[in-house]
Amino acid sequence: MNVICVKDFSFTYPQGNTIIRSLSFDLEKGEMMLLCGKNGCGKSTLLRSLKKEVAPKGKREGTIEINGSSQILFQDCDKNIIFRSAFEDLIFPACNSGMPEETILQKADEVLELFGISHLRDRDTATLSGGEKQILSLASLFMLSPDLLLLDEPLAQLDEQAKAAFLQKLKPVQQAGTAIIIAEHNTDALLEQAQKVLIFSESGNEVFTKEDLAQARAFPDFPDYICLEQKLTLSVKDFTKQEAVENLNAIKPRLTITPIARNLPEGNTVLSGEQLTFSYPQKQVLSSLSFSLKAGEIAFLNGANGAGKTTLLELLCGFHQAKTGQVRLSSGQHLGYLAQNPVYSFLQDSLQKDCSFLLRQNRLEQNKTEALFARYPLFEDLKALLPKNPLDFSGGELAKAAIFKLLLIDRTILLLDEPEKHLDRDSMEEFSCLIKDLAAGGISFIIVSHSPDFMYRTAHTVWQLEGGSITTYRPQDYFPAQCQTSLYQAIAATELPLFAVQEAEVTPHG
Amino acid sequence: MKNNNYNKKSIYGCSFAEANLTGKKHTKTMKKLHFTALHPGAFLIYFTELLITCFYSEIAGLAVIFVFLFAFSLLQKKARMILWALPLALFMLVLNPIFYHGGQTVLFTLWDFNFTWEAIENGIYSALLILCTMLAFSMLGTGLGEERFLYIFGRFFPKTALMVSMIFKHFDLLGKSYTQTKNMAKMNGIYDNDKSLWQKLKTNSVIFEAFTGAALEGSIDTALSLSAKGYYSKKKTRITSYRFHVSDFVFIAVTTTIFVFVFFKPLYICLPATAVLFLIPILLGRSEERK
Repeated sequence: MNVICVKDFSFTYPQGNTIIRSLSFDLEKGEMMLLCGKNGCGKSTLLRSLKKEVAPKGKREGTIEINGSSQILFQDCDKNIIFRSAFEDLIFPACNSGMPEETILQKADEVLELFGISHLRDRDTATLSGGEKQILSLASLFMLSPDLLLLDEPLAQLDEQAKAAFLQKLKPVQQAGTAIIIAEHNTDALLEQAQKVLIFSESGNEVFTKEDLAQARAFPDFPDYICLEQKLTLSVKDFTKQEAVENLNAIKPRLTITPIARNLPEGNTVLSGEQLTFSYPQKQVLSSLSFSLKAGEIAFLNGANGAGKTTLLELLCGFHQAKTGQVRLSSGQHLGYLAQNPVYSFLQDSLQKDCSFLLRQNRLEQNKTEALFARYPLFEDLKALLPKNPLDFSGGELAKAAIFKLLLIDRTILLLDEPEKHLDRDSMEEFSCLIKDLAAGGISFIIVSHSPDFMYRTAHTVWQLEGGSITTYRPQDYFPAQCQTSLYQAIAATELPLFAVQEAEVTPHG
Repeated sequence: MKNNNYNKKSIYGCSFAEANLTGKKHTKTMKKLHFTALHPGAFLIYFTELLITCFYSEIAGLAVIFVFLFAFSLLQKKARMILWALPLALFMLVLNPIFYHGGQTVLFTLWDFNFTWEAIENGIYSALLILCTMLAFSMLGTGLGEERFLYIFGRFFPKTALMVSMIFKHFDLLGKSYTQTKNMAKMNGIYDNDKSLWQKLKTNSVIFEAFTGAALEGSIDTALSLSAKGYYSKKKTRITSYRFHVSDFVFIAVTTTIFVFVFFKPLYICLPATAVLFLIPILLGRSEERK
């Protein structure tokens, strides 16, 4: 029996933009469907439309039939949390479903253990990190066995352990008959388990089965990265560096690929920290942490959920005061910060107004926006969004807009907290190119990210934050147990091909 | 609606109930008695005893109570709370001798009014009583905690308790988003070039507007999330997380026994009893810190 059956579904927002056009698909028990598509293509809208209680306002046509119960995970981790007590939040859906008390308690223990978050049980949700919130909400969904599970980018903020736990949990849930729909840019791991893939594209939305995927290249609009991942996950398990390079070349025909040696730039130290110690009332976060960042260096800050990555960035920005130790910023350097939830950096009701307000306050010329649009393909979609309210943006669009704003105000050191988490694959590559272009012009980066793919493509150095202090690696030496897949090994092995922007004549930024 | 149990589970992890239900290794918690190990009801009974002692005690007893409660608030770093009650206490201390002139022991006479020792004593008593009541309630807050308070409250007013719980969370969220917005504005150089007061006010109003907008949006999200998680469903499970355990009974028995001695007339019995009764929060607080 079909768990869900959608026929000719269309959705139009009150503003008049039709975001989903005559979409039809059905899913049987235990089937999984992956939603792929560019930022702002309607993935979240579709997921929310499928859950009656949270359906977005707008005009809908066609029919949606759902047999059984459903649960949804929102993209924004703050949206999923209701209570202050983590445990209360965990069991809330289960209690509402009328599950017996004994079962709830037993399941809660199981789920907490599986996701490795038993230590979060008694925590106040206000003190949880973004990733911890996301695991908690995910765990609370697995307390129940709904007939349909709707997940909006569940992997975006998870560390590797939590990702593995999630994937491990997904199989038995599927076998128990739960149909799953997942919107996710990080498709590597999920593609193997998915029976169907729904691809949103400009020419129309199509649902593909596994058989279709095998001949994927036959479809003109088929995103290239699906083909690559298809090849990687379904056929080639062990492939050589050469093959990896070829595959990577194949996925990005728009950009020329020039091998760049992964050498650290030989610049002056622009930002350094010595023996930094910091603790929250209940928790020691940083203990005698030292680091130094050179001009033009791209450093990736890695670490488990709740390790203190965001805290370190906020400390550097001066939002917190270190208990001991010192942060040194070279003269003439200015810090720019992209927060994990970029929504707080928007102050006006349209992006256009917001940008001009920002430029006016910083006494900069108003035509700077045009220059940025011309230079980086990442911001192409933003032009159409200029008159819209940032609060209505999709996750990926919001991230792009926040990055755009950050580049408007000439900062020389950029601290980015999970900037790529909601970006689609194409945007992520364009973003990676942008970072490298800026770094070549002397801008330094500290980037927090949970995407090894993004890290291996972009990083000069990798900082592992563990136990409150930092260990520095070169990317080619950095192999935590979770990143041992062949793709990453191949990418990181030697002088990997980093993508460079095609227009070689771009002048260095700043 | 009537059966919801949203606020029943909160500190379940620390209570004895868990150790019994799941058979987990909580032996450490079991050996040591601390605030969170107590059933909220047991704590409330104990607190009622404390309050009765406060109101029953003579001036000497109150002095002892004050010393212990103040020591507790110092140890919990909440001594600043006393500043709230201090003006009122001082007021009583001064006003009593001025307006009350009865009593046997006349100390001195001024403008035909007798200033008596009894009036001053009364003033001291009222001031101490105010301070002690204030400190005791502050101790109740520390010992019970927000979640356990809501547990008791929620037994009688489940709907309101849920709302209160969400309001608490929302205040957190409000504060957080205000700091975030302001911090981001600073980082983005929004403040840098504001010279005049008018300009500063204008910028601040922009920031305030943005932050309230985001906060409103946040409250809509919470409502959506509530309904997505099935809050409006009819059949719900109640989790009776706090259970009376032997330790709770022992605690009540011991405290009540001591409490009885407070009513003995001789000072050498009632004063030590009062002291021991008010020493308990200090001990509980200390053992919680060590945990």
